[in-house]
Amino acid sequence: MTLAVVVVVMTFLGVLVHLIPGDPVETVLGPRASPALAERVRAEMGLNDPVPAQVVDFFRGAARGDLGRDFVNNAPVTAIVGSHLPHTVILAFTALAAAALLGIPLGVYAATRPDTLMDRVTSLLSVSFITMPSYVAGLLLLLLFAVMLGWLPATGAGSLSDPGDYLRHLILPATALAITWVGYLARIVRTSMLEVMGANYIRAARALGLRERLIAYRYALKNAVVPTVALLGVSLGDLLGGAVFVELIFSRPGLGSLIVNAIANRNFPIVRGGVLVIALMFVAANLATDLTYRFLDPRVRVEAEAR
Amino acid sequence: MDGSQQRWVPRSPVVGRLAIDRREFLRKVGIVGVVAGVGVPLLTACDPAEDPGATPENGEAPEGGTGILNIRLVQDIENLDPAFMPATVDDAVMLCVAEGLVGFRPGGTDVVNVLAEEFESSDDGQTHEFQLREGIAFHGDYGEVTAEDVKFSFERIAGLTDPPIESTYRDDWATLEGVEVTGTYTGVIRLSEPFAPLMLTTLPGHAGLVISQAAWEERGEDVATDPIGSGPYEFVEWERGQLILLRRFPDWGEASLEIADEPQWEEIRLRPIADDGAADIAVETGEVDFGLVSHASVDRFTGDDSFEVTQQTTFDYGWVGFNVTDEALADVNVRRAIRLALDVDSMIEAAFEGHTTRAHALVAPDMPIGHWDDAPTYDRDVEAAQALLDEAGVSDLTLEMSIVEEPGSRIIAEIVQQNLAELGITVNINLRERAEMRENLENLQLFYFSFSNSADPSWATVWFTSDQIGEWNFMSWSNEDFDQLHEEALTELDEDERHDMYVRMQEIMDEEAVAAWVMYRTHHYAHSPNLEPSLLTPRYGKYLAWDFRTA
Repeated sequence: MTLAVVVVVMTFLGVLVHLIPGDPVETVLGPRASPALAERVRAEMGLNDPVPAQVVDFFRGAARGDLGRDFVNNAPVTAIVGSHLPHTVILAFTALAAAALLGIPLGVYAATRPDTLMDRVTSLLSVSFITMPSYVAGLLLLLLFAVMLGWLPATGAGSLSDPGDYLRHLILPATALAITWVGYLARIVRTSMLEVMGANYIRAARALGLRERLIAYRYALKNAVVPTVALLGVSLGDLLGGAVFVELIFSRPGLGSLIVNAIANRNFPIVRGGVLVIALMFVAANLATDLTYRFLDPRVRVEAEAR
Repeated sequence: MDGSQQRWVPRSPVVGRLAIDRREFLRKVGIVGVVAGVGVPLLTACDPAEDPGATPENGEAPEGGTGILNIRLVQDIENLDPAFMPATVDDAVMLCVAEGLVGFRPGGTDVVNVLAEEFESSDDGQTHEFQLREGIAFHGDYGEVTAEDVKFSFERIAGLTDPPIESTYRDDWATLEGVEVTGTYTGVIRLSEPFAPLMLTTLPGHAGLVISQAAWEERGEDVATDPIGSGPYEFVEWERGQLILLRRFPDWGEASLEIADEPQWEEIRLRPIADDGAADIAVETGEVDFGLVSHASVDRFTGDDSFEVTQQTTFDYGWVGFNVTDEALADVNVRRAIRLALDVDSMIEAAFEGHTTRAHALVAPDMPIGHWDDAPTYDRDVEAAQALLDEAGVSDLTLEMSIVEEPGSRIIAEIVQQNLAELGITVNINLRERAEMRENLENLQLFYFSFSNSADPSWATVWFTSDQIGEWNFMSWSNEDFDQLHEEALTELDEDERHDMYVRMQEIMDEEAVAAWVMYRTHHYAHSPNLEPSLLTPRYGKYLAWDFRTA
């Protein structure tokens, strides 16, 4: 199934160049390029070969780890994508971690105090967070913390060689991305926790005299976290994609902004390579989620074995 | 529902020994975590060494080049090889890294000697002898600038190498026969025909930059993003999408001192920020010291005392054009009528917030030659326009107005639509992709477009010649006199003669009403009042970063 998805995506990407109007070579080279140069570049890019041959070439290359060369300065796409990828991945995972660290306890808190004032306040917050798009959150954070207060930098990602500086550049974008997911996670955790809290084994634990917080975090959460893990898997895909807006607002280098700029410049090899990497990461994330599911919930394992 | 009052006994030996229970532990860790989470960024924000906004030149004048200059680029660099440079930002970088035989002085179009100690042209314009300054070093131990490097630099662009490199800028050296090396530092540039743009655009422009043959041959394609020149700044590092770092070249041969004084910056950092909104913020927070801002932001910066806005009217032009082969627009009176009905002043106000210069003809006022002082001004006159339409016997026209995504295009299209509605002409606006539009030029009717331009008018007139029909002559207009004048003006060396020829060409365009001129593109740069930028309008790169000064 996973393999089928990857194959379909790659075929589509291979054909992409020809689906979109406009001659990529002319766009890339600009108005003063001679026809001879345009022809030569077209031949080098393999754009004159029949389409199926181009797709097969792309497959073969990708299997070797060679995603082609970009149209503009003939640099290897793998290197270009590779230099941008870490920034997007770090941003997505940091946002995910932040969302989990804030959202899960928030959900548990609300679940252990159902229908109280705190629960309602938390619900309100969660829903507000869910409805705020990442770019709106990003702009607000930017205005408040970078422009008005000047506490944190507004643009760029900093240098990986200087972790402190990199972290400072990461705070606002990661928060912007995380906000929506804090809301989602809080809601999901709350709902599944409430379901679990009504179960017999929880009542038994209480009857044993165990402390409420222990019951909540150690017993109920462990079971309630299963649907949350599924959500986290989906959120990773969204974070990788939604990172584009945040990357543009904060002028961070990353896969999203790389692909957007490449599309405008008709730099197809980069679009292809970049989208392929994102697709692969998405697929891998979902695979990891499935496996974690299996690990966390013995019932799934047992069912699978019984089959 | 906490019924139990029992204290939970900690299982962990560590926590047990500290004799606090888990709840206390978590609470304390939580407090520490919150404090750290808020405190650390605050602490580091207070550290001036780490604060990107605290650059020395904001209000302080460093002695002997110890400052760091941060500049916003509108996009990331793509290819720094002068033969292939696709965008203005590439030239902006190379202006600091490389030098030519001659160069433009900032603030005008004067051309002065740079690498050339002496430069002499023959009367027929076909031989140009140069003598290089001696001892000018290339960066990175690539030796001195020699006549061989000059030969290499120019001949490769002209397509004279084997195999030819197919440079995008081959036309700049269209008539080059070769560069003859007569000594280590001397040589002769030989042209098959006189070429007027040579001294106005080729030699002082990026196609005239002298690069190191040794470096180019050794580095191959890597020179596109790691070039070697003789300029005051070395290309040090490129963090893709983030930063281009240039550092003062300690062994600079100082060939450019006739252009400007010794630069004061230790480092120049160019930051690609594609989004205008993000760029505005970067300027406001001081993360960049100088950056191009959009028309919409200009008022905000001019109204703020901590910033200054420098304006630059470029040679780039925008116009509403007519496809003269379209049956509706083939009649010149129809085109004249439309031209007379358009309210260009409103377009400037609405589409550019009034922050741009109105154009009345092809060649901008600051161009060294070719500006038509007496170009007619077409102010909106609906009655006269209607009369022309009636004369043409045309009524109830429906036309398509094609635009692409570029600043101001949508509003201009809407104004055209409104203006022409009063003539009974229905206009449908069609927003298109550049590449797609260029593939369907036969179907064009009305359009708004803008071209970039450099200091020689031939680079503007060329796009309106018959050769360019189906390419960049969107009007599909063909006029023999115009074509002939364009050819002749390329080889005419007498400046006054040339000037008259370009004026005549613009008169022809006006008579045939092929265009309703709208604007000359104006750049606005926001910066601190303590920073004095240095503008270089004739160069693609538009400003000379190394000549920025603290006031």
